[in-house]
Amino acid sequence: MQAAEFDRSTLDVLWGKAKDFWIRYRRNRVAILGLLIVGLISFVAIFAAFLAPYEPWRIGFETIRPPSKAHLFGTDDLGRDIYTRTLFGARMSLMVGILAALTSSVIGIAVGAIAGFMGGKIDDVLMRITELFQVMPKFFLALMIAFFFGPSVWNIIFVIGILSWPSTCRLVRAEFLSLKEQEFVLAARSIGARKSSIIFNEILPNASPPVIVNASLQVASAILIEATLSFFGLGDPSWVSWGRMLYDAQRLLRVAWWVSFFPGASIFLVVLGLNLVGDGMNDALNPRLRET
Amino acid sequence: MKLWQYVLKRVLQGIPLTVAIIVICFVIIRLAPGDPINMLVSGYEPPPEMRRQLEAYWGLDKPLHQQLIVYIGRVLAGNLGYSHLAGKTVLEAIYERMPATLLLMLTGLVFSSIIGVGAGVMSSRRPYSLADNILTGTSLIGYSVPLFWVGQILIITLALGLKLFPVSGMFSLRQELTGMACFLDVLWHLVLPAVTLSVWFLALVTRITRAKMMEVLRQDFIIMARAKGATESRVTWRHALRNALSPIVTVIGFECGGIFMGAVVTETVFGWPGMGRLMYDSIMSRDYPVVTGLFFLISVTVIGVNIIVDIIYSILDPRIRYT
Repeated sequence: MQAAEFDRSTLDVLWGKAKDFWIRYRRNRVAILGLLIVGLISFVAIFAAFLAPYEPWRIGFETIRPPSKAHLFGTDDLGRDIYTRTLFGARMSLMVGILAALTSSVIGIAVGAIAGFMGGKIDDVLMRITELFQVMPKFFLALMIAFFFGPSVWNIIFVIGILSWPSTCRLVRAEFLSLKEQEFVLAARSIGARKSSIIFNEILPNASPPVIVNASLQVASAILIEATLSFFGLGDPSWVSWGRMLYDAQRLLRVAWWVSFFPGASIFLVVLGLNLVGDGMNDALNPRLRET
Repeated sequence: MKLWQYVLKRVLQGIPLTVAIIVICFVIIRLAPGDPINMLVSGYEPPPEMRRQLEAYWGLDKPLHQQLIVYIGRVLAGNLGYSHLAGKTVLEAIYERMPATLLLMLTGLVFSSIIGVGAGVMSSRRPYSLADNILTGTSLIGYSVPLFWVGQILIITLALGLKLFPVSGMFSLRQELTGMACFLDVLWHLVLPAVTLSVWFLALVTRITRAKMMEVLRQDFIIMARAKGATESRVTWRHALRNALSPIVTVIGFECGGIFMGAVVTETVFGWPGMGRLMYDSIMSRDYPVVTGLFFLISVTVIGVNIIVDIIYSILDPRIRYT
């Protein structure tokens, strides 16, 4: 840190960094497209009840109708409106995605920070545990837990969170390993800062950019896992879910393409949007990678 | 460190992981709701005589820590248990399904590794050119799309719409085929599942190859190679790709658990009679011996592949043996 920055508060520094980041992010048109997609789907998720023409669970006599004026995306074999259900499905996807990514980030940051900062024996043990979680077939375990302990939305969030933290953990550990050797950490140590203060106030803020990028990709992967669980009939039955809609579509493939097409396209769109945002943030944080 | 020492070290490191996996299998059987004996016989209440026999056989009359040791010993001796639901040993049940899954997975793996590395190299040669943008865009799409939906859309368009490929299964049921005709028939059934399974992995390999190649192409020895007058294709394939390859191989190894999960999804969509269907069916019918047996075998395969990958890595780049 230069001398001129000493009198500025940390908040100002962060604000300045955020502004620089946004200026670089904004230049990337594809990344902006990703942001628009994610924004649109968040909007849909929040206002689904106002946007939808029908009730998501209302069954009707007009079964297996192709898309029409009355039913924009058609109806399924119970006469439910696919357009309405697609709008409501955004809620499940985004909620599970965000909360699961939050869970895995918290676990990953905690374990990675301890392992990277402490080093030695503690690091060894924690990394073996991380490795164990990495070799276990994640999705298999998720299927089992969801099946044994009941497919409630909280169980699904918990399962995805508890199985996805190793990548965050490795990332945080690597950041901690390199940052803890730097001068500003030495400075903090020499004025007698406590370990917890060094971890949370000194190193973590500097390690956060890649962790945030990683979190946005984790949301995308959590959405895919939730959709896949629901596709196996293990979603929360009291929520409308795109994966569950595709499960229903599997037996209607011969007669109704629209039952499969629209929810699947929605999953694709939101995951694509999140991946674009993640890539865009990554490029904006490491501007040198774009130089050719 | 000599190569054999490194191999030994990596294999030894795999042992605690394997034991941990067995412990997890044990915990799953104990934690799952219901009585373990009921689970072992797949849900119904066995006659008292059979219950006593099973309790003695599985050591359930002993305290918990002894049970665990008995269980670990059994699994390490290659005894994964007996599926009362299928009426055969767990290993038999799994072996039956293995060829179909291996055919599907290896086809997908080979196809996507070769095409993916090729596409990634193409992409990295002229970054941000039209060709690169198309390839990067396509791989991003492949990376974001849910596999089971790709399968469904392929069935709707190519199988049901254009009638180019069969909708599901591995064989044509109407006629008995032998020899070459049978082989071609399986191949014809394989196309759509293999394409579906490859989508995600192909995208992943392309993305990683591109990233690693761009990292390597920026280094000094590439400039050196060009300065010496090496042709562009020699620089790309001999100098750059050789150095980028080891991290790519590592990722392929790390994701082989992921590709198995892709196989589970693909097999479900296409009714492909492999281990993925077996896994799904055994979870749904609470056939615990098969569930834990599969879980164990898949995990150990992933551990094994990772060790092999590390060894290949250490042959490609002997420096890592010393770190």
